[in-house]
Amino acid sequence: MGFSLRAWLARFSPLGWRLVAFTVAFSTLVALIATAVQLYIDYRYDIGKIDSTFEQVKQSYLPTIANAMWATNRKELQLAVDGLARLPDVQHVTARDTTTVSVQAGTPKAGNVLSRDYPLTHQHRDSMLEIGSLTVTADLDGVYQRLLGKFWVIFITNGVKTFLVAGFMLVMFHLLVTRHLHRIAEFSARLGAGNLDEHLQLDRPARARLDEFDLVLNGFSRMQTALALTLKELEEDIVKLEMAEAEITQLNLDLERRVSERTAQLEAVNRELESFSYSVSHDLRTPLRSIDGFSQALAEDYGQHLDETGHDYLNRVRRAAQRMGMLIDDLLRLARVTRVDMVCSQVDLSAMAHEVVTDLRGHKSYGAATFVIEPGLVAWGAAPLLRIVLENLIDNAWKYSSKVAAAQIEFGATQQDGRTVYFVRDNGAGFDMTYVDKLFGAFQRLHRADEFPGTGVGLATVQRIIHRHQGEVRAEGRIAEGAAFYFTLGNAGFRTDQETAA
Amino acid sequence: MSEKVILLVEDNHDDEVLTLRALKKSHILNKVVVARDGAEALDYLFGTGIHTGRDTTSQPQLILLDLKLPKIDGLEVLRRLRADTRTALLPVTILTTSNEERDVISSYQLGVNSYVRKPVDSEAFMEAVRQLGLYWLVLNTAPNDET
Repeated sequence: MGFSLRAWLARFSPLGWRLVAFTVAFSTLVALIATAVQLYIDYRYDIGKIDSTFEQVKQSYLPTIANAMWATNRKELQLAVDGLARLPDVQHVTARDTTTVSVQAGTPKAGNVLSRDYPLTHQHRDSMLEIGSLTVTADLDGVYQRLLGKFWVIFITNGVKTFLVAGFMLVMFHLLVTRHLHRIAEFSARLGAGNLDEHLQLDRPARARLDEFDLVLNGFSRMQTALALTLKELEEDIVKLEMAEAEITQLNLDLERRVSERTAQLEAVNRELESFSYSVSHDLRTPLRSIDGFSQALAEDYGQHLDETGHDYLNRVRRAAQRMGMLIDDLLRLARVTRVDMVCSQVDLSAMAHEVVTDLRGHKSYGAATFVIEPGLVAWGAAPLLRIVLENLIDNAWKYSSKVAAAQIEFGATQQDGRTVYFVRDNGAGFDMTYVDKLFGAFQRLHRADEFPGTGVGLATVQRIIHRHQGEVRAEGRIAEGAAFYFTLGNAGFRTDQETAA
Repeated sequence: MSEKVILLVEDNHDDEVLTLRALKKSHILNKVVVARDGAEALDYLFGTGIHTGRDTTSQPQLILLDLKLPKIDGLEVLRRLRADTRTALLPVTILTTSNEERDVISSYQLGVNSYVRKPVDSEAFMEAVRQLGLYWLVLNTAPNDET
């Protein structure tokens, strides 16, 4: 039974209960204040009544009692005092003369009492004589009893009323508010789950004047519309995104396909180039060897049948063949410089320059020269390629200063705009700056072959290697005063290395 | 005593003549057997084909092998003769026009004894052939010298 009551009570929302609690508390407070005020007024009224009784004693009884006392008429005095004691709320009356207690009525009582003393006087000739006193004691218990009774009536009435109102409020709150709130909550949950088609409806009669719930309903309706719209836009956006993504995927596929096609093409071209240079190196040199070899055989074996001119012609044939052999070798090297993989490391250029000089001393016979090589030049690059650069530049420098008495060839570096610029400088034949642009072109030469031999491929090779290192190369020269070749190695790793080394 | 034969594997007739001349000029008078392609070289070494019946216990003192050859190329000849016990230890020198790095590496991987590029300059060529003959036929001790 108690359980089912609790279940029934649980139907009402915590909000309803809270409302009731607040209402009861407030109502009780108001009732208490009202009761206190009411009781205070009643108390004042009762006390006023007692005061008027005391006034009546003073006005009506006091002269009679004073006369009776003056006349020492004890019987009359007792009668008057008894009359006093019969007045409402009067508990005890004592009349005494100046010496003894003479007369009293009622029963004396301590506690909640209100007493008043009156002097008893008598007019004798011209003077007022005080002949005794009268004490009237009123009992307040009656007053308190009445107040307590009233308090209980008011309290119980208020309590019952509050309880009934609270129950009524609980039910009404449930009917008017809580159940609708529950419905709205459930609806919101369904809305959150994505159910946008359902419309919020509350179980209540339609009325002309809109209340808060109508506002809520309207709000929901608008929110639902807005949500649906946003959702639709989102869906459209998603579709667009998906389409864009598909497009990107397709583009990527196309790109990958094109890249792989291009790579395959490049690989094919590379293979062709490789087999081309392979056959060049093999097939073009073979006939040259025959030309040179048989010219020599002719000169050696049948030399006695040839005059000087004949020998000269044979020598020219041989020189041409050998030169062609050099050209082919240089060209192949130029081609290889472009193809070879760049495997970079720290390269000691100073040591490399010394090696190159030693090598050249062994192979070439350009004559005496002084070499000044700055120590400690370290760079980041592909060692075999940088070696080709130094070989070509130092070989050139030496070759073109071979006709100078005190040939000096320098290899060093300077700093320009925060970059290290390497240089190879000589004091040899130099060149005319007008033709500086032609220096780095393949097969371009500024000197005749009978002055200084060469194929005109070396500097083109140098430039290609420097460019592969993201560097730059340039030349400065003046006829008969020498030439200088400057190059940079634009590799970022180089500078970092130098900084950490410093 | 078996003769110290040189096997020259060379398809280019000019090179053949020039090589033979260079050997002669260098006073290397050993018998030179010329094979004009890889198949012929293998026939000679293993006594097959046109060389059927040759005594294969007698093998050349030096093989001068060109790389670019008709039918069977130089590297394949090298591979096959290194794979056969009869010829596995023979001194083989590649004498060729190309000095492509991949050819040099492949040759050494297959166990060649030396690799010489034919210079265009005929004097350098003659000097190369002279030194080769001197080294491999006179200076060097080959495994089959004792037999």
